[in-house]
Amino acid sequence: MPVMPVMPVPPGLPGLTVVRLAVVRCPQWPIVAAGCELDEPVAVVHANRVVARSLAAAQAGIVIGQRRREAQSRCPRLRLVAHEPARDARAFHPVVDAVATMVPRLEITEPGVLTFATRGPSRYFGGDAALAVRVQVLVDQVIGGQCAAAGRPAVGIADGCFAAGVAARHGVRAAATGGSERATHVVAAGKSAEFLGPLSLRWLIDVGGVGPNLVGLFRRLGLANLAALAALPVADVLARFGTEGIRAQCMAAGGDDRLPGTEDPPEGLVFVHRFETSVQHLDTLVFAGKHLAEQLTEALSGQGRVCTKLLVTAETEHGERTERYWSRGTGLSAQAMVERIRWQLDGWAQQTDAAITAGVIQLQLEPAEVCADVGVQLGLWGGRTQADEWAQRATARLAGLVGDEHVVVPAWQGGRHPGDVYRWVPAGLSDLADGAARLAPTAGSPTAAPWPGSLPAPSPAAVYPSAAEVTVVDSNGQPVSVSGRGVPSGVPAVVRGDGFVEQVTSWAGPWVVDERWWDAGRHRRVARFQLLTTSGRAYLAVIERQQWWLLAEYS
Amino acid sequence: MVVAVASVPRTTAVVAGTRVLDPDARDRLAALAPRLTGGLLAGDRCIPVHPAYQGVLPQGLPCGATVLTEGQAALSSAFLLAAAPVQMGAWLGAAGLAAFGAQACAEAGVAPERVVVVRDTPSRTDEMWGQVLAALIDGFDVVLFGAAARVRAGTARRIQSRLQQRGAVLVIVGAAGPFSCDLTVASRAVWSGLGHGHGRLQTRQVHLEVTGRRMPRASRDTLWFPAGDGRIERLTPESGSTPLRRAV
Repeated sequence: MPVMPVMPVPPGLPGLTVVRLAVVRCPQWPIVAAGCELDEPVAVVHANRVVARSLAAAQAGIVIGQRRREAQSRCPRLRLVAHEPARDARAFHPVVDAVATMVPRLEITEPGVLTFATRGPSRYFGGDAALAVRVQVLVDQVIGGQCAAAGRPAVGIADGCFAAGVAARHGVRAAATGGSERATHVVAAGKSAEFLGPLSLRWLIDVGGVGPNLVGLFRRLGLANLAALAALPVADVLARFGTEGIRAQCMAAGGDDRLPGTEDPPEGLVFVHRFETSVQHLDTLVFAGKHLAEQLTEALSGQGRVCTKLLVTAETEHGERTERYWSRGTGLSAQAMVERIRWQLDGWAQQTDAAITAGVIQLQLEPAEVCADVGVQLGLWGGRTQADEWAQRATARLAGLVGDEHVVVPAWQGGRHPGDVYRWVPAGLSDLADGAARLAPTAGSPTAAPWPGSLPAPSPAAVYPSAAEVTVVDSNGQPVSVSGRGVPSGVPAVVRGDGFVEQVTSWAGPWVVDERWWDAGRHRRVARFQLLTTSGRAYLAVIERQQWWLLAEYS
Repeated sequence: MVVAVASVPRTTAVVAGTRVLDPDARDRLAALAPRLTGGLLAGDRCIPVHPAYQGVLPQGLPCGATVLTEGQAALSSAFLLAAAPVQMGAWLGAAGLAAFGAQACAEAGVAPERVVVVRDTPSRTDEMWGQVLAALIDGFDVVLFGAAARVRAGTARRIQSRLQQRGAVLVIVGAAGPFSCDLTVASRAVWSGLGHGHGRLQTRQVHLEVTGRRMPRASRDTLWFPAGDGRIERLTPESGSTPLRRAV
């Protein structure tokens, strides 16, 4: 098949050339990453909505976007798994590595979806159709068995990102209905607009990421399909719907190439670190990568820009290379870059079939796309401020000083004890710019449930890192214990600990809590007391197996 | 006022002690005064504090200050000092506080997404603390520190001069150690709601006493921290007995 990498500009879109792209899509990737038996109904939930479901769950009536409760009522056997993007990314590495043996430069659009330009590879492998089949067979070999419960991976090739994504979905559908032997869908060069034309506007939501409100508005205005949207005058669309509308129209016309507003980075903006001796430790590499990422963001921010697509390359002494594109629509901060460098190098090091044989001697960062830095609107009170920038820098510096695991930020966990509600996670592993996600209880996960039996506010300000062993006796000097029915043997009168003795003036409890009784290893049955002493200090104490502990102080 | 005279060279007024030769000069100076107060000196810049602190710190916290919180509510009054700046976008860094209660911190009004804690390790040397504190002061507007006794005097001096350059606020919890503190917030807590085998800790009155180098006398105030409805507010005579709900 003759390959024409660059197709003419769709009408009314000045100066845009459309690159021919291939999209490899593993449907319902979070399900595959979570692990699932062939006929087991599983759903991955995020923010109380189903984001992915297995084929068995789909047959039971589970659909994407459904509420958790509704999904459970449709299918009581349904196993729910919390959404974990890091797990998905980790599990996707084998696929990326396999495809990378055929295609040098890949973009991991999201875990489960790979995008690459077909120009070179399809010439080498004898045309788009041949390339698509080869890639599909390869992916099937690597991951096909695990994907059985979620659906077969498919490859789509078309001009432009949106059309290629839609083509890949067509491939997935064709494979699911069993109509076609191979799960591939190739749209001929220059035919993207024709391919998209008769399709429903829903595709804009599913693949293009356009807001459902805008698509709903298009529908109410009488636009039946993508062709109708593409046929509107560009100036009118811009005037009426703004840049979001232009983007949607651009997609509908098969002309989208990259995120709107992005541009090529300035020439020669490459940051390379050559190691004098080859390096084998991941941490050293990531540290060097951090330095490069800071230089890169600094150079770009000097021009008021932010990197939206980054090429990370590493090379070993023996000439083995890893090259990956990473992109994020809102721009990659230095920290986000470091995170991605870590993912890439980690995955590369754990590669099994083509293990690296020597240490790394060179690490290189190159921005592939930049856009004007307009800041990221985080929330109602948001915006990225100078204070955030400073704090993030200082956090990175602190992590370098005292070690990653000693610089921590709170993350919501939920629990009945004061130390359980927030857990501490290393700051280096979490995106500081997006604290809301870390601190919001993830709906759907069991931790979001109310915690019956937890103590109401006020919470103790000083939660001891490890509980302090004490003895509590009553006025006769007898140790106070709590019976199986939750009745104390006496009135707590004196608390005696390591180096202190205090008289109890008032107290309340016992509040018995019986946690994880179904799990012999983690079962915990404690009775809690609040003790106020003559010195005016208030403590939270627990008794567990006849032993008293001070958990926290209301300081 | 001498500044004001210097900036009006044509006036015939000569301010020498209390004697003013030109009778109009005083009026003209008075007219100029509001125009001159716009520019603040670096030492006068303040960061805002929680409304509950209005009684004892009406100006807010001066930038570059070192504040010591001590007493029965040392940690929670330190959290409350950080609440207003963090709500306005500042970041809170904490070090040397092994028992940092994140939930109480959030209840005091500190946004937990802008909190970073450096964990305590017993082996940390004085030099290490110096570096950690310097990094904290460079990046965070409010720094809580709970291990002042483990820092040497020289390090403390260096840290404090850096603090003044940067304009952050260092809140030392517990004991001041070698740090010289501009303000000391001493607290005494009176809990209510807890009985003998019944009730629960429900409300607390915190009696604050703020003393400082630049304060001629101590200022005192009493807060509901928290009141029965969870709010943190000043104890005013009319609210003196109301916030406590019936004990359970």
